[in-house]
Amino acid sequence: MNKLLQLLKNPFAIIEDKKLLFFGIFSFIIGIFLAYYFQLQRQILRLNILETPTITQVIIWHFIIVASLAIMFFTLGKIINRKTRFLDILNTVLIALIPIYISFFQNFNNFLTVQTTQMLDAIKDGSIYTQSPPVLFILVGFIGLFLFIYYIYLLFIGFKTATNAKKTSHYVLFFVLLIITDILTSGLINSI
Amino acid sequence: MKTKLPTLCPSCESLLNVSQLSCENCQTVVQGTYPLPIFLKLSPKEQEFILQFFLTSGSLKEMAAQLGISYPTVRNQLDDMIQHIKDLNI
Repeated sequence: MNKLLQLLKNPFAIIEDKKLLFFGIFSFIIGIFLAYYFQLQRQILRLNILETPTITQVIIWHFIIVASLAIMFFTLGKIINRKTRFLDILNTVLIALIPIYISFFQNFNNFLTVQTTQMLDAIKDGSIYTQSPPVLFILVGFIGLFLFIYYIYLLFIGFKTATNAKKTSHYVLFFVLLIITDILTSGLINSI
Repeated sequence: MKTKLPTLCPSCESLLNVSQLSCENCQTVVQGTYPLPIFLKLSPKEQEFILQFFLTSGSLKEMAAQLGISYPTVRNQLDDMIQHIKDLNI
């Protein structure tokens, strides 16, 4: 139990880099198929529902996310600590994305697509103020939020372990870079 | 019972100095004020780390495998310790 908690708290501190890379690549492949199956477009800080993405599009989007995050954080990592290794940053990105792949199940049986469409329609015709959303939708929303927070946490803790960052300025730079990378890649992903 | 060498003052928590050394053979006693060697100024955990580092011929990867932690964690511990020793020297 203690080991499991330790693993959830910081897998990058206890698992060997080669094992992390193996799990990371394995989950990355699974994640691509899940995104394709559930028709979701994952971006760094957002999740879009799409009608018919092709498998090639999904693969390219996921490669862009992993490559851009890894390159940006590796560059920042090298500035903070010259001993930072690319492998540790890549592992951080690959493993941190696992909660996001789990959150793809939100769209099981097109649940998210249907609920979001209904909500958008309710906003358009103004009935959003009179009707309350289904309990299941709220529950799924909270689980999705929790998984998203855990994804950001894993990115942060993995970066911290890889770079030995300790100063507040390093943490601020990390979050600023995360937002910048999301904005930069968002345009690129949407153009494909 | 194996006694532990105290390095910090129990009253104010400052680093202690050696003020007396004695020879068990001839009972000669040397008095003075000598600072503790750097190794003894480190915490038991840090001393253990240095010992492990030495026994693994300085291989951080081997140390990581032995301690059951990842390579960057061992490297970070080493970096923190280097900084600690530099601070102690100042």
